[in-house]
Amino acid sequence: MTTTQDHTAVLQVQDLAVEVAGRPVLRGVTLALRPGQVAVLMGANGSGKSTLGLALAGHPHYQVTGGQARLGDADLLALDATARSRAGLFLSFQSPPDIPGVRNNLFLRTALNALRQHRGQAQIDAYDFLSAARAEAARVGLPEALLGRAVNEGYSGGERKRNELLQLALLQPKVAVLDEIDSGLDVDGVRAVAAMVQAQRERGTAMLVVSHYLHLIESLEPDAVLRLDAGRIAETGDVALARALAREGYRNGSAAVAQAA
Amino acid sequence: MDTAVLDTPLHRAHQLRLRAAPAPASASAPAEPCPTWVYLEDAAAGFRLEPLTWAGAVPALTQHGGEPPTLRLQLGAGAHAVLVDTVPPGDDGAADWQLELQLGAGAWLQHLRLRPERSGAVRQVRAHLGADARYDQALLCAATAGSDFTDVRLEGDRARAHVGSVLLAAAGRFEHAVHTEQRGRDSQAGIETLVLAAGSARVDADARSVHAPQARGARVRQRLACIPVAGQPRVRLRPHLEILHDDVQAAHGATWGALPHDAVFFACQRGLSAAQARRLVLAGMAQAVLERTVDAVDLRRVLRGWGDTTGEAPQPPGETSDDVTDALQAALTHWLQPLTVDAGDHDG
Repeated sequence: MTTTQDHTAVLQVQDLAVEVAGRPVLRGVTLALRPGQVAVLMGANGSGKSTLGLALAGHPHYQVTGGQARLGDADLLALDATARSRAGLFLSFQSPPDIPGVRNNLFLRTALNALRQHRGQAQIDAYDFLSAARAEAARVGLPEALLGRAVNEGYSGGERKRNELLQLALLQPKVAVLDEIDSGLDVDGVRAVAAMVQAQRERGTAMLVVSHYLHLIESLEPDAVLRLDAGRIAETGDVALARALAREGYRNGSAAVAQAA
Repeated sequence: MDTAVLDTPLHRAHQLRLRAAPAPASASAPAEPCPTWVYLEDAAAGFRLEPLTWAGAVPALTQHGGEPPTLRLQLGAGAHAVLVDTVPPGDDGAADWQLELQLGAGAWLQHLRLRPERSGAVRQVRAHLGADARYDQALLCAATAGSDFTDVRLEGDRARAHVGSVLLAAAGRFEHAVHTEQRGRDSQAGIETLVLAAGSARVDADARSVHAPQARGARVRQRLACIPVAGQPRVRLRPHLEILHDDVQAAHGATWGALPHDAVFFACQRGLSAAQARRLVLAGMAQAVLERTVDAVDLRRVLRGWGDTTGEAPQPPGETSDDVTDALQAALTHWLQPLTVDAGDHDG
């Protein structure tokens, strides 16, 4: 994990600047992730953590005003949201939206087949898909009944997050940004996140995990912890930085780390 | 004469397939002596389907401005039936007709209606509900021309009716109206209409509900919604309540909203093309309206045939509820082309 140029990185972000509704939010974010690396992104509310994920994913309301982002050999910023996903970028939403009337299993299978088609792989039929989806749902603790219900409609906060984990497991991206994946999850759910991150890391997925909670951060054993402040990466460290921020807060946490060093 | 088909047994109810007769090959063709409708009777199940007689063939009726043919269906006390009402493949559905339904005490009719035709025909459904009777109508309609009118009279106490309609309007002018009148005590009525409009379509969608003076404890809910998906459609949504009793509950709303962009972006982030995402999200919205009205299993059976009537490739058979979404996506693809094909947008 670096905050400078890294030619072995699968995700390379350089001086990324982003505006939302004309207001600058990111003012020059630089980071790089190699395959299998896990970085935790921390920061106060409004520091731009979610903006970073949504801008990388190509949300049309997030206007990139400067900088670069590359996913492997692809110029990420030149692609639309679909192409970014097909190139291997996955964003776990902080608040995953409902899709009324669309069954979860149909949505997931449609998404998976879109990606498989892009990768030149054979389409997966409904029965094979259901078998795989049931196994992964059990792994992330998502009740099987939710596969047959409309996407996120009437799900609890924790079920939505487990559903995001299920999608991550099935779609197997190159890079995943998990935006507060632990919010709303019970202790078993947090364990499922840690296990999923570990499994994805072993298969080479690079992950940027946005979180405020030390318990999860420690269980992830991240390669790096980044603190985002005022639209920039203000600090880079390891779990010690996360502990200091958890103990002292975002105003005083970095000073505590400096003193400890 | 085309035939009506009684598909039995269903999992828990009889199903009547109601089809209009094809028009004569030419004006000089001998007129059918009568009936365009086949007579079905199943006393054990408690329903009777009764064709009215009229002179001459349908075109003659239309030409002379006479009353359109009427079909009467009576459902006996406690009976339960599913009425599937569509246009057979190859039929342009040009005939006007009206349907009169009489539901006895405790009867329940699920009425699934598909109108994929472009004919401009006028369809009218009138239903009379006895005590504890229940009538649910789901309509999926290519709203390009013509009109569709449903009038439900809840005459008995505790009668219930719900009419859910999805109108796919890409061109032409279409009028849609659902009226309910609650006369019995503690009755419930629901009207839900979703208009997906594109191009130069012109649609009037009305909901009118009356609570009669004796309708104590009656409840009604109206929900009208339009989503313009492309072009410059004009859609008028007109909810109307007429309440003549103090002890009633009524809610109504009419919304003109945009496609839910957060859901579309979410789908794109999962790898669907923009067109795929819009189609799936809209099909889901349509499916939600229809499934709030009729049983998903029955809906699935009926919508499997949609591909035949639109000319789309039939969906492969299956036993998953994905069939409904697939069929609705086929309908959207067929009727709302601007929605599903973008320049430079490739599903693959």
